[in-house]
Amino acid sequence: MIDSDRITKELSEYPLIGDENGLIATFGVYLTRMFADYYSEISYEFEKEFSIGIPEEVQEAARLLLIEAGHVCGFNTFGGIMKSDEWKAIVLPMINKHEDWIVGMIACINALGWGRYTINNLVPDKELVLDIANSYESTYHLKTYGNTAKTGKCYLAVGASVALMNLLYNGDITEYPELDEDFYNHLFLNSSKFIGEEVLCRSKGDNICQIRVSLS
Amino acid sequence: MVEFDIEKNIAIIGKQMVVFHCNHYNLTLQRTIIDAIGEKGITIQINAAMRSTQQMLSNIDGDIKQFAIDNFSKLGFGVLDCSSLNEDGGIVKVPFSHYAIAWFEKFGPCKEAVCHFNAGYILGIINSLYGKNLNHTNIKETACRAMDPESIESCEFEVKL
Repeated sequence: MIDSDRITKELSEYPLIGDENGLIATFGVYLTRMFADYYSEISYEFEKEFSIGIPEEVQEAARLLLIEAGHVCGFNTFGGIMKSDEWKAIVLPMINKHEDWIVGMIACINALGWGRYTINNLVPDKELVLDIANSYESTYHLKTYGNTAKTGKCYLAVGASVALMNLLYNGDITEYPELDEDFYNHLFLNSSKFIGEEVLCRSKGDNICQIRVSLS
Repeated sequence: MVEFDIEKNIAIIGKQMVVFHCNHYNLTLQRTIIDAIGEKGITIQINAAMRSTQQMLSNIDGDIKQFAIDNFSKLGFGVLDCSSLNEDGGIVKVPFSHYAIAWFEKFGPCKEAVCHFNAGYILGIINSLYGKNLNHTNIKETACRAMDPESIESCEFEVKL
C-alpha cells in the first residue's frame, strides 16, 4: 500500500541542491528551485500582453499555451521521477496495482512545493479529480489580482495533471519508455489523449482549486 | 535555507515560495512567451526575476550579496561571479548557467542570449545592495553559452547605470 506521507517526507528531505557547478541534475532533468511568484508573474503578464487587441476567442490561445507548458513539465519531471532509481527503491515496493502509480506520483508532487494535491476521485483509464490546497498559482493570483477571475488560473497544475494521466493510461510509464519527442506526441496528440479542466479555483473565489482530467 | 511546510506542502526562502521545476518547463515557458509576444516577453521575465529576488533579499539578514550568490547555486541556476560588480555596475559572469546549458541541450545553439532569469536576478542583487531602481534597460547579456558552448566558457552580463 502506498505510504504517501512517507514518500512526501523522504522526497522533501532529499538533498536536491546545486552541485559544484550550481546545477541539480537528477531524475533525468535539470531541476531548479525557482520563485513561485516568478512563474506566476510571467505567465499572467504574458496572458495580459497577449490579449491586447486580440479577439476574445483568440485570447484563449494564451491559456492553452501555458497549459501546454504544463504538459511538458509533467511529461519530463513526472516521467523522470517514475523512471528513477529513487522511485524504484522507495515507491515501487509499495505498488500493488496500476493506480498506485498515480497515488505515488501525487505524493511526490507534494514534495515539490506546489501546494497540497489530494486525489478526490480516480477512475482507472478514465478520470482523475485532484483537489489542490495552497496552489502557488492561485496564491499569487489572489494576492496580485484578487479572487475575481472568470476562469481557473492554475495552468501549470492543469497541464501537469493531464501529463500524469497520459503517462500512465495513454502511454504506459510502467514499461519505462524513452521520454522523447515521439512519445510525447503519441501521448498528447493521439485521439485517446486526456484533457484537463479547472472546475474550481481560488482565483475565482472558490475555497480550493480542483482539476478534472478526463478523456477527450 | 529552505523551509518546507509539510502541512501546506510549500517551501519558503526569505518569505518567498519556491517550487521545483525542470529545465524543460523553464525553457518551454520562456520560449513560448517570447515566441508569442517578442521583446516584451524578455522584459517581463527580467523584471519578474528582479522583483522576486529583491523581495527575497529584503527578508534576509546579514551579507545579502553572499546569500544571493550561494542561493543562486544551491537552487540550481549555476554559479554567479559577482567579483566585478559594484555600485556603479560592472560585469557578472555565470559559468554554468542552467538556462544556457539546458537551452543548448534541448534546442541547440541560440542566436540571441537566453538567460533572462539570470539578468533579472543580478538586477535584484544590485537594487537590494545599493538601493538602486534598475530595470531591464540597465543590463545586457553580452555573451551566452547557449550560442556556442565550445567557444563561450561563461555567460556574461554587463550592468550599466
